[in-house]
Amino acid sequence: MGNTAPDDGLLALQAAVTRRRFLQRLAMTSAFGAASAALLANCSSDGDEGAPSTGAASTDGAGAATTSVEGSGTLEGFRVVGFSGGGTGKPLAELRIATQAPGAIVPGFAFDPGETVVRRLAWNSLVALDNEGNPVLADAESYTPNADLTEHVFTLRDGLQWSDGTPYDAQTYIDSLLYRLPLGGIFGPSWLVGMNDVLFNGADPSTLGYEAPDPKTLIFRSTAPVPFIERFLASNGDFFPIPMHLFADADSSEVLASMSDPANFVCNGPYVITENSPGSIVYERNPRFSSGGPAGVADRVVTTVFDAMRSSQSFNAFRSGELDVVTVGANDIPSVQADADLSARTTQIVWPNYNMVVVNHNREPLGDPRVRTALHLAIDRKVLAESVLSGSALPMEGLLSPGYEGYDPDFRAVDVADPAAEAQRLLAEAGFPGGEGFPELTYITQGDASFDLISQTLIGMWNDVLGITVKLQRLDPASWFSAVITPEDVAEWGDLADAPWPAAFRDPADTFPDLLYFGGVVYHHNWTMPDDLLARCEAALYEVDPVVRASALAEVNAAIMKELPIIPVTLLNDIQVRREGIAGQFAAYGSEFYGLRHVSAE
Amino acid sequence: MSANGTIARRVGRTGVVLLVVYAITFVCVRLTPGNPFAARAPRALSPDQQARLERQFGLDDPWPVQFVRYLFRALSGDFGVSYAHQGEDVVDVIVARAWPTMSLVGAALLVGLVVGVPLGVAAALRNDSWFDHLLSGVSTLGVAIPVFVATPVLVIVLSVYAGWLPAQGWDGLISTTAIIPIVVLALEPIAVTARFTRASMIEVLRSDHHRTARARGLARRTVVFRFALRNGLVPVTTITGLQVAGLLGSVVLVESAYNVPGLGKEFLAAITARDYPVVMAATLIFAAVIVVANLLVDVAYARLDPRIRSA
Repeated sequence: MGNTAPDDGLLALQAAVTRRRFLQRLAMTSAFGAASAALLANCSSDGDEGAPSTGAASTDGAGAATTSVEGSGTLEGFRVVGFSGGGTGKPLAELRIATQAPGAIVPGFAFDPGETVVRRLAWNSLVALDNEGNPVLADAESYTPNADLTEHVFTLRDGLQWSDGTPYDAQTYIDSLLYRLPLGGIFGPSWLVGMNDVLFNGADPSTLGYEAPDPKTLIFRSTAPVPFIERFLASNGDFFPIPMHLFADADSSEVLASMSDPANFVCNGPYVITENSPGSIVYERNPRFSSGGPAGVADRVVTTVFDAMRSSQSFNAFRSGELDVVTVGANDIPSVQADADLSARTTQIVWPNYNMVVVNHNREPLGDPRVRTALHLAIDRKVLAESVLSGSALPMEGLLSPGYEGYDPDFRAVDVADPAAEAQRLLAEAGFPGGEGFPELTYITQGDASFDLISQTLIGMWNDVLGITVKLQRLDPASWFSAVITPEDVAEWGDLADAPWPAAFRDPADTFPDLLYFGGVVYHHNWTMPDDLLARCEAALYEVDPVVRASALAEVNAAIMKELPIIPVTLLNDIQVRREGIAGQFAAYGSEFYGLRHVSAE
Repeated sequence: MSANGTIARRVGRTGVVLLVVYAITFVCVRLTPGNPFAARAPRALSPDQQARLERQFGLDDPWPVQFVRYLFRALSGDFGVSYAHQGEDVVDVIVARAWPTMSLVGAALLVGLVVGVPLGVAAALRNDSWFDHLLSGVSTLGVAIPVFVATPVLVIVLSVYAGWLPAQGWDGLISTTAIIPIVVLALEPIAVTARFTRASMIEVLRSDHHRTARARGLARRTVVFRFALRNGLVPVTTITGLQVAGLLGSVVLVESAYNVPGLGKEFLAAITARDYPVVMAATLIFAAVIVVANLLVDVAYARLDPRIRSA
């Protein structure tokens, strides 16, 4: 594929679209994405069922699926895997994993970790991800992008059918999206022609750049090059087909309710739901699986519903033999480290789950860059990552995570020999020597155990180094979400807020801008990115050449971090333990761009 | 007033209590910050999307309209559709989760009585003995240990290290998954029942009629089990009603700690998700169970104590 860069007109258009999005919807992401609790269980097969990608546009946006940090040495005590590798053994008879209660069991009606697990197991789209997290064609048998990657023509396989035997085709894909659009569950992508106008200006959905000229052909038209379209389609539930023969003339609530009964459940993925109770969902192979995607690693998958997947409950269930693989929360990591047997079966999956502090620039003295820099420099990230979080995190200094091109582990937003002394000097220069006269700050957190640990440590460090007082306000997730994103509360939300963010999201073009200049989850930091920086950011994001893209992203990252609109803290990783006889590991929720993992018999 | 009149009056009071609970819950739920739809979405909802969802679920109407509409629907058994469980009727959500909760509460109450009463009687008969002191100490512990501490401790000991019992879940009342939650929930009822039984029995055993019965040559066993125990159980009956309320509070925590897919766990999840219809329905059901339990206790109390009946 050529190294087609967007021209100026395209950039201007994209920048305009982006600014409009900012004004119109105050783009953000959800709290649950953050992920402390979030683990996506992927059960892809050994991969031989999946047809190979055409490779026509294999330069995906994240592009980092092969970035490995094996043996990085910073995460002592665990075998570290990066974004490649995984189990390659024999299929399992049964696999028992943890999940969360899904908001819906049909794609595009909810977005939460539980729904993602259901989607991975029971649903399929044009593209799926193989064992190594690489896209493979599923419902599509081939696709052809145009020269500048703004039009992708997919050809569907013959004989596609739902688990009840009803056939479906390209028009089903179109109808599925159009059916869900008015229900409020579709959020993009912004690059699809007409999508922003449909979502925000009430334009006719027929203007979308999404067409099915015949039953076997689907066309995507975009306003910018979309080199990551394979990964986008593999992981974005909005573009999964749904059984329109059930939904077409019915109320969606009634169909969803009916489908919660396994006898009425209809899907197109490798598994069907055979038992569905409040405490667990059981999947067995779909005898009518007609797609070319991976067929699943186990004959039967039992998912037990927990409040959080990275919890002591699920860890205890694993230790008592009730689960096969589990992600361990920060509080339980010392127990794993103390147990030689468990440690031997432990894997640390490096995936970029950001933890940041959002700073409200409207509240003085936080509008002063010297104060923000002082707060940034007063954090000893090494201590936080290695001691407080027991080695389950990486220090985070910039906005680029290990999965993005341009990530540099040695990058420092402010590179000084003695960060603490410099922090004190800057605070004094801002008029608060030794913290004297500095107002008490509020710090809103969402109460998750791991993030609470981080927040309390930060407050201690700021007090020790800068002599300032920060008051922690723990809110439940919904209140926290409301406090920091509701537009009318912009002035009131407080001074600081914790900001978890799954960097490895579904669509880097939609997500990375959100993170960069919408302030992550659009917590209202009230910092406006200068237009020239915005344009540079857009250019980098839609750059097709990975080398140019990496360089451009690194430059943008450095430029933004000079302003410190937010304070990056750590990248939390997944520590996973598996029972004997199992190889490989799961994908973490949100890590679709960075390679999924699977487990199998050793 | 006749017994039937008394019961009718109390049933009437029950309705008033439930109405007050409904009103308080409605206002509290609406005043709680947070949006039932925002947390379900991967991004911020546009004003149009937000408005559409509010219209769909009737949240765009003024509070008084919502209050009255929901009340009348609830009276006819229609609690609406859950926001968090898309498409699911709230009644279905509740029914699917009520059995584990009611089983646990019922079983814990039963265990509390079956174990607590004999222990209390035994302690009263051996007043001031080592057994009495031991029971007193243990019952204090039973009351003092919070269920959210007892549950993980038992899980660590009995499940993780010993491997005897499951560490979480629910396979029904007649299964090993029920043991830890029932034991944890029953700790306080056992302790409270034993202490009340002991105190009440000691008082009865020291009474004149007890001495008279013994002086007239009745066997101790007969006096204790035919006369003293009946009198001694009257206050125990009273606290049993209160224990139902305590158990419904505790079961919320135990279900969450032991991952039991019951009404209590769903109640907490619904609060977090701002799933208003489920919060309302669960609160009303909990309130109704407490009120009905106390009503039954009042009736039983009147049957056990003729003085109450005549009054």
